[in-house]
Amino acid sequence: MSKAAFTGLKAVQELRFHLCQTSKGSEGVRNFLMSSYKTLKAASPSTPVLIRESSGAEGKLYARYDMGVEKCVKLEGLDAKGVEKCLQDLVSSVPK
Amino acid sequence: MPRARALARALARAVDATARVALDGASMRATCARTMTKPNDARAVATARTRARAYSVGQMVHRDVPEDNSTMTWTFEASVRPKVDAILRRYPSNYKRSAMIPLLDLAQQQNKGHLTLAMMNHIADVLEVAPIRVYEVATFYSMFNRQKMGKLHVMVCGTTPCMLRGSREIEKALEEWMGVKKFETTACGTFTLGEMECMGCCVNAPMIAVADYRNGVEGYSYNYYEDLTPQTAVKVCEALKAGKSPRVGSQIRDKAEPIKGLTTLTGDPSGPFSRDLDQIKADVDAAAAAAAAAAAAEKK
Amino acid sequence: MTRLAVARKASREAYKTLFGARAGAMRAMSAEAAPNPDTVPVTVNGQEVHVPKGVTVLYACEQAGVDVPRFCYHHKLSIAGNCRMCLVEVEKSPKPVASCAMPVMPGMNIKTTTDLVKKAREGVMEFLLINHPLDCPICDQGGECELQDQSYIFGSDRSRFTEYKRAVEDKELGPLVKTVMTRCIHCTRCVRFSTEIAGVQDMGITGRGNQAEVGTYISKLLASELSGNVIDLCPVGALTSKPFAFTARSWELEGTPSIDVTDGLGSNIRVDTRGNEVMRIVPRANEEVNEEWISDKARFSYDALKRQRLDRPMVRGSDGKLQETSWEFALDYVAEKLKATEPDAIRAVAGKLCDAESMISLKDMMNKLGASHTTPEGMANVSADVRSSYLFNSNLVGVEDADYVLLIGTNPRTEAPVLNVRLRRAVIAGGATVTSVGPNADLSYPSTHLGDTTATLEEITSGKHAVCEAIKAANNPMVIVGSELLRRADSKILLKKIHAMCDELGVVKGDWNGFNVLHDAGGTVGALDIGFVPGTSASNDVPAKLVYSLGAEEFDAPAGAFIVYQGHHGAQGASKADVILPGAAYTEKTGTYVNTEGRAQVAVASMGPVGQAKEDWRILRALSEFAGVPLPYNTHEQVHRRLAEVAPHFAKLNEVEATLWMNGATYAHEKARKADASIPFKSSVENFFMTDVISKTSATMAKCTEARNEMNA
Repeated sequence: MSKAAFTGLKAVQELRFHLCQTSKGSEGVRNFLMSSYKTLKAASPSTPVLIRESSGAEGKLYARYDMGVEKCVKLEGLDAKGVEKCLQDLVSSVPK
Repeated sequence: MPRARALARALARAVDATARVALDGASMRATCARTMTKPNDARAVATARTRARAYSVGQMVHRDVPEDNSTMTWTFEASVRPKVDAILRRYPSNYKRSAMIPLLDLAQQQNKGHLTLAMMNHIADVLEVAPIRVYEVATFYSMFNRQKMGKLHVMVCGTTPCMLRGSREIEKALEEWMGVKKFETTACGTFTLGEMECMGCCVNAPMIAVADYRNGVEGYSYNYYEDLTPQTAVKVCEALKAGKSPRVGSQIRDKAEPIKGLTTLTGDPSGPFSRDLDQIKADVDAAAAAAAAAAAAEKK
Repeated sequence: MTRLAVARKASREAYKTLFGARAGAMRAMSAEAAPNPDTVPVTVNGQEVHVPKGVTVLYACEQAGVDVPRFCYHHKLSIAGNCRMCLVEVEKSPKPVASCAMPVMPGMNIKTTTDLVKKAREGVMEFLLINHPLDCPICDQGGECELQDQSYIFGSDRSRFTEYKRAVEDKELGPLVKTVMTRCIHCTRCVRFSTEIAGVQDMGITGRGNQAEVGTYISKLLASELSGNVIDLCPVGALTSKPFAFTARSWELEGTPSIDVTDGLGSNIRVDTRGNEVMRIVPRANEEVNEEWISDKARFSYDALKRQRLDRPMVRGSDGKLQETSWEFALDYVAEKLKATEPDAIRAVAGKLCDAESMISLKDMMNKLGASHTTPEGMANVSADVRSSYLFNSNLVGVEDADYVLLIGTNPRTEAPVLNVRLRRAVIAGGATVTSVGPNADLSYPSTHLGDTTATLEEITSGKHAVCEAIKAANNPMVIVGSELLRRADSKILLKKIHAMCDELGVVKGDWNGFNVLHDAGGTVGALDIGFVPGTSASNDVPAKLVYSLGAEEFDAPAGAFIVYQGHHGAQGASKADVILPGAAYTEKTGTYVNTEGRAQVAVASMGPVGQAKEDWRILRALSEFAGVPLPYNTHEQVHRRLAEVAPHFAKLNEVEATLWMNGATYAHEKARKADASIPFKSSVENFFMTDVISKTSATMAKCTEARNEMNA
């Protein structure tokens, strides 16, 4: 999870992570964020990476692109690697 | 019996009247007319004045005047500070406010019997409490004078034993001699005539207490002058005004003994008298020695 | 624990169950389940209840559901026991006992329906009414007067008093509290409130007996930001609201639950309206947020809702003057400008009093137009990524558990007076130490001022300052950062250092997160929560050509920029605008506001917007239609669902979420720079009474400012 892996972040206007603070399903999201948030921000400091936790919430990832287009991917039950993969998919599939 | 019936009817009417008093305006006015005294009656005026004073407002709030307002400051004199410290040492350091009443009294003595706002604020500083706490204590006790006083505060006891023995006449005599009414100060500023509750000299009634503010804290005195008559009361005040020291305590007897002489304790007390302990010790020692000698003799 | 502390804790637990969602169920559960070993059994009117040890007889009666009348007892104040109205009969006691002061003993048999109790209550009521003036027709408290109610229920039905009543002088307590001290029954609630809660020891009871008077003795302004709460506390009409005097009777008013936005606490309020007019604002009890209190600003600035209102759309003509126009024209005009301006030159600023619904509508519309430059008012430098970096993480109730508090750049007394009450309790009752780097202010409790420069903060964050040891040694240390620090240009550097310090000195450890940010307005946290921050492509390189201000008064707008102001008061922001779209104030729209703890609360509309104004999110929805980027929601529920889509905690109202602490990762990418040492730490509140557009327009607040200036002169 190097900085290079997230260079595509600049194409995204904003990222939103939904997760639960304690549930098993969001464990992957939590681990990913704890380990990779720093790298994410280093890759694109001006991209807001909003982390929104709520007890009982399902793990989700929203990416907002230009012109208000948003895409959502469910992260419930994934591990940190799975979350990273989802993120990279969202980042690379910028809608035209 | 017609009288009983009339009584019963009157009683019923009275009960009825009381029951109706809150509801019927006419009977309420009638009740008030019965209970209220006529306005020009002299006694009514007098009672109205005392009653008015009892219901009057404004004694428990402070009004700024040129000689007593919130811009003034005051401190204990240097000569009085040792006394202040001695008082403070009596109490734990986190309960300084226990010293409030003694300090207020001391401050009053220093300031000629007048407790001003500046003094209360200074005491609040010394005791590390908010000023309102000092105001509460100073207004609660009537012996703290928040008005200017005369140099001598003459307080006449008016409680029952003294009243029975003529305190009202003492009061009248002093009022006439000083030329003021109760609670007022003479024009020359020498006397303030006041009243006090029972000061415990009921045997020597009637009596007055005089607080002397002429000589600051060192010369402060609070003396009782007892067994007074209207004439002797005036004499005491004349003497004080002249700078003399009239006899403190009872004016006619030593303490509170019977006036016509002792009726008890006229001679030496009868027995039992205390034992002669030395003699007893000697006897005991002698007995012990004798017993020891007897035992020694037996052994042989 | 002292008796008072036990009673308070028990009362807090009781209120949690009484006002919690599962109140009924919990009470039923406790009745059937095995009694907690820490409780004692007590019988009240034949019914057995189990209450914690050490609580009062009154508490036991309340648990049993029995009403005990009282005047001087208040569960938030110390016990006085001077009104004697709470007398109840306790078996084996020779006299009736004051239930507010008597602790329960196991097996106590309490009776409240016997003849003795009835006679006692009638007697006490008779005594209280002896000197009470016959003012009901002219007294503001009529209709909501505890004396009236308790006299009606517990008192005798006739009087036998034919003597004179005493009269007392009215006291001058300021422009907010009207006093008619003849009505005072000397319960001393106001004295105890001023001393214990407000911390301003100005009120007392002077004299004694018939001459006793409650007041300040000297003519002194009740100079506390919480002075209005004595109006709620006073059981009779002795202390009433001056602005509200003689305007309405309580039975004419309809109360609507709402949320206060004048500070960041989200105090729960009830807006009392008569028809289409807000008559007054009173607090709602919420143990977790504002207990029973609200600040004076929250309570008394409602008169501004009738002054200087924007009630019709306006457009600035070529002569430079604003002209009234129709909604269609105004919206069309703005839409044209939006479509004509390049997205990078569009800026959106959300005011600090905005509700989340209007802010998400604005953000969505801007994003759809391709504009990403959205900032909350004054918070251009704040990162919205990690919630724990901008919230009051310990929660307001957690303040009472703190044993060391470090204030950085904040004056909680003026920024959040109700939070200051909790801090005061932590210091006085809990023995906490408070030190402050920032403004040197009288907080109403002892605190140590360490300095107000960045140098002092530097010493602390680098571990060299003397207080660092104390912080490390504390069990629950807290750091409270003021919102003014967030407004500084160097805020990110300072926050990075503070975060590092929190990790090092154990301010954040295990379950305890002691890092707190205290916001000073109701809309800021909502803006950050929905991500109303610049997106990736937003930059300041392209100068702004169109600025959309959603109620923001202070925003950067270069000369020649087209300014759209959507708000409710015609003040600084509106005066610069080219188009004014009249919106609704916080009492006129149903909106969600997130308080400084991250608790989302809904303020229900108590009346409709004035004139031709509309609810803000509806204006933006209409505008989006005109601009060709229609927003996908048409009802309030749909907007709320969108909010939950953006941040899931909006779906759970009135609850606080535990925040994730990123252990220093939050600002890790910020380059190390020197903090600006030339600017000392100040509070964001210079004049407590005038901090936002509503309070600045209020005549009552102006009177308060004048009174304070006179007092300080």
